[in-house]
Amino acid sequence: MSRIVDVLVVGSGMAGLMAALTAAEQGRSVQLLTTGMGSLAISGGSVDFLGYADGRLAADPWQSLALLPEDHPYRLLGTESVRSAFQFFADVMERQHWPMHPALAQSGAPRNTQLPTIMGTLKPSYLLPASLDAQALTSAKRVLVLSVQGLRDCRTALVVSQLKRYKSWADREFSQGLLPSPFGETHRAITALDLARLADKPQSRQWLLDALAPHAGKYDLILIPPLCGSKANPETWQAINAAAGCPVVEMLSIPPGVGGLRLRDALLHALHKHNFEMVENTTVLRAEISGKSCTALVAEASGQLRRHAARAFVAATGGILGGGMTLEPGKCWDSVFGIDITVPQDVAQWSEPEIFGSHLFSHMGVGVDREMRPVDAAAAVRWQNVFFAGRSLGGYDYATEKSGHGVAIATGWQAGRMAAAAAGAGENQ
Amino acid sequence: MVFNHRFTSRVVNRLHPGSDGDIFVPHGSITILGTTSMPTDRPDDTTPTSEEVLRLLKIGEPLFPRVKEYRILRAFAGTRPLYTPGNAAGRKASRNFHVMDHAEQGLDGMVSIFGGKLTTYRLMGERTTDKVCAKLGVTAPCRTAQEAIVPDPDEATLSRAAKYFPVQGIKLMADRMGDDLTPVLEHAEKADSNPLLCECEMVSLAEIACVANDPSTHSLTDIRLRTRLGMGTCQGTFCSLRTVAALSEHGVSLEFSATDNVRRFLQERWGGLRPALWGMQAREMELGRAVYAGTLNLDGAAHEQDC
Amino acid sequence: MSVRINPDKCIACTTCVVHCPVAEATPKFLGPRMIGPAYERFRLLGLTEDPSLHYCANCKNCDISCPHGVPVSSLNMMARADQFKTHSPGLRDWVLGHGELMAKWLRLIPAALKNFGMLNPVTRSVLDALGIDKRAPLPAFAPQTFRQLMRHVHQPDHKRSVIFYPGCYVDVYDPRTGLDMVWAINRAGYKVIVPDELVCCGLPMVANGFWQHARANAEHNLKALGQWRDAGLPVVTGCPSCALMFRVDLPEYFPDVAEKYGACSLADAQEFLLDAVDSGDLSLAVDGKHTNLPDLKLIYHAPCHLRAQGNGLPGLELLRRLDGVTVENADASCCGISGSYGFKKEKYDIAQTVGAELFAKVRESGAQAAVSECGTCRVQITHGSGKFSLHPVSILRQRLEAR
Repeated sequence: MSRIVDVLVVGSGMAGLMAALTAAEQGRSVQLLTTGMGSLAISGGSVDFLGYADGRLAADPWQSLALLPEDHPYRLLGTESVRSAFQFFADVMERQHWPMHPALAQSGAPRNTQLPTIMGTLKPSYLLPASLDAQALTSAKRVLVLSVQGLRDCRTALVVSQLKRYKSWADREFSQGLLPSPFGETHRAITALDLARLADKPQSRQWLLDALAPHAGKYDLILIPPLCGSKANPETWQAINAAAGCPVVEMLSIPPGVGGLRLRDALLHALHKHNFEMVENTTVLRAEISGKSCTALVAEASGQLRRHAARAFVAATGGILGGGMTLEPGKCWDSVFGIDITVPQDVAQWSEPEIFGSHLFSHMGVGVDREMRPVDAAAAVRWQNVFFAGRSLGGYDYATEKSGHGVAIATGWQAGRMAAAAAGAGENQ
Repeated sequence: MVFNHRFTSRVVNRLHPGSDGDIFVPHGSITILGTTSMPTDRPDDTTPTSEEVLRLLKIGEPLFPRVKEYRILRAFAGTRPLYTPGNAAGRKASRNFHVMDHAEQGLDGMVSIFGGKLTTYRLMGERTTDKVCAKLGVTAPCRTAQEAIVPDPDEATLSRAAKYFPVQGIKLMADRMGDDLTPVLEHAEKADSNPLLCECEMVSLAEIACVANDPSTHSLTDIRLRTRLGMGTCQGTFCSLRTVAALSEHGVSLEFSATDNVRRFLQERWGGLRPALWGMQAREMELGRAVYAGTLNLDGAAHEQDC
Repeated sequence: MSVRINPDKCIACTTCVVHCPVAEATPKFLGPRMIGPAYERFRLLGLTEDPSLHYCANCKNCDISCPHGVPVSSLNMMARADQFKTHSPGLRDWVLGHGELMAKWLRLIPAALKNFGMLNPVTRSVLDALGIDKRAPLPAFAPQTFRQLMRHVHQPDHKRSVIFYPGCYVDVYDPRTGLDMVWAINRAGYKVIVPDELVCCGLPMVANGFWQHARANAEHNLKALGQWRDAGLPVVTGCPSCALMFRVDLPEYFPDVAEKYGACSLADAQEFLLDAVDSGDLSLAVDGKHTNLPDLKLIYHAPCHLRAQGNGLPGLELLRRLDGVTVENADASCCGISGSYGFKKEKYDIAQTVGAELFAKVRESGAQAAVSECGTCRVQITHGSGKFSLHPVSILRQRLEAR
């Protein structure tokens, strides 16, 4: 098979979709290979930029960038590139009618927002869907926390008891409510996603609007699990906010997070307008290298091997969780190109005894240059047309920093642009 | 060490002179491989090492050639004192138990039991009471071997349970609840619903609530020890939150705040994950971090709540 | 029962549940994660089965969406096979599982009579009582089977040959598609051989509880195909479900059979044709003088079993290479029929709910026809949207063949 594509992306999480989109918008043909449906399928719908730097809560993430170590992806890219990447993402979402913006401080500078979770904790996040009224989170006095009968993951008593322990929420007046489930008794335990899907269609949304109506006008803010639709559809939100008579904010949730599905929906919609093909249910096994270039990736596809030729490659393979990094006793390597990642022989040294400590494994990954090209120990570029993005990169810890989607967007944007350029150069050769 | 799935339906014992890695034991949904043995001076020294895990795998491989492909959930260790008359050390020290009548040492009316293990406790009880009874002149034979500590649940009870508990989990739950099965059933019958809180090990709300209400339960770990909460595939990733949420709703308090309870619970699980942090369990652990740190910010909350 | 697949790859991330069309349609189904890998850890203990296992449609969306390679659908099908050991499938399931065999028995009855017999309202009521929903789009028997028609097809004398595995649907209900496939393969410079010995791939048998029959068929097919494979001849099929069965399912369900005769990978016929276009063997130029064909607008539905193959959508790509043809990719997950599933009385409504989004997209597309490689998908799409449905190869022939 002689088909060759400009940019081949591996991975359909935030980083992979961003890289594909950036390359596609530069006019390149893009093929994306993915094993599963990507991390967005189960994650939340806000974008974490930088919540904690150097162990401290970051109110203004842009200011806190300077506190990050030199090899952190944000530092490698530089502030201006990160800004451009976020702007690109915001523009895409705007065109998909699902605008995402940061909240603004009094000074007018963009700031992090402390979002409530279904555990009653607060998590700093940055880009919020337009439907999320960040101001209400700060100023609301009378707060109604709602859940739905049968939702195991979200119990209002926990949310209220935990939120109250934060200074910024201690003085609010909390009320709790439990909405009857439109499903009744079910064999499978209902999740927020089931309820969100009902909200997608006007004909099945009514149960929620009716349930909210009695509360209209009585509260300044309603906190609810993520059940306000599974697609990036502003009409759903308009209806729900109207019925509630006040801002409705979704609490961040454990998988399925629902919000991430909306982002995925919007990004794929944007991609399908371009010369873009997604190949599902395939796992890349190895790369074919010729000199300083990669020529193709070999993937496993339903029991057979299949060769995918391209001019440039982006590995957005999701690190340890996504299978982009393989961990064996005493060894770690990137699953696509086989780049060895140096680790201590003794596995116990990969982690700290304290579960939320600063673990070696959480910073482990492929080292890259500013263009997202993997480099070797001597900082020399390994291959001219290969780029990495997202969690498979080393130098950052998305979990403690709360920087997951942010790094994915920034590095995905850069990798996609650089791959598009490399593909253009490859074409001319 | 614990494997994620049950790959043998029988105990498989390696017949070699008493040594490490003797035995594969199926236990409910998982398989245990053990043990290594290290001398220690401290009774609280229970940290398994990566080296021990790898050593066990190597020893187990001839019995199960594919053992290195099987997913390891965690490793755990316990300490026990060994009675070593004549100073026999390490593997040479007997794992058997000893009942000692201190009259031999000039202390009348005092009997001690050393060593042994959980699986021999009733035998130990029998031997000890035999010795004591002999001193007291009681000659009736001990009935403990014939008496069931906990009777098996009857068919009627199991049918009752089938209405509220998932069909896969009923027998296992009945086994571990023992005498407490009836209160758990009654709890389920009175409630609106009885959802599974721990899906990996089929532990439902009724079971957890009953155990949580017991005065001797202070933490999620205490609940885990009675129910298997958090002992399955996800090692507490989903069930921790669901449990503190349910307990909150039902007004059941544990010793610490909800977030502290979860942190402690996950910390305890973490200790056993560390020595085998590779393969699929490494992915599981990352999912756990994404949930508790990345989404729920449990780590940040520790410094920001109650300030 | 074959070697069990261990559930170790599952990390309980719930991605499969998010993408399961049946779980989305009904909370009666426990969902792929619980029924598959989670329960498997308890099946290994020999405990009772969950009552909602039968809702699994074997559509493979769980396999496709799983980021960690858990073969969820296989776990479910193997659990069903065990279940059927103690709860025998009924007559309804036999009928739906043995389409090819039924067609063989009924072959002496002329098609018109057969169809009258099967499709008239009285029979449909009887079938409905048996468990085949009277609203379900039971396809009509073709007057002659594809294999019967093949005997009269005059193929050009090409040196290279290809083995074509038609699949039951083409053979019994839609031989026209099979003939279009032969035409296209001929045009690419290959002669088509349809070995008589080939039988049903066994998928409807697996789905309906006839594990041993499926196994017997697997053995029969792999033995027959083995000789062609060893002779270096490519084996292609136009049916994605059959292809997936041979590539993934048979080696998983019956590893000993696959090892004995060697697994045989059925290549997708559209992929084969696309490769032929790229190598220059297959010309996409229109034959004859009339090059002014009206523009054609189509909407394409990717069968789930094709998406599960990890080879992208060659049929769509091929259509997009044709002049004057615009194809929209419906991109709407599952059509709902999932082989024999959507015909069952207790599953019909679920199937219609699952396919609703696709039907709406087809209706609103303004396309002149819907296109899909899978026979039962075509039936379901027409049933749900009212739009005529064709196999991509039929479009190819329509656009390129001289009139």
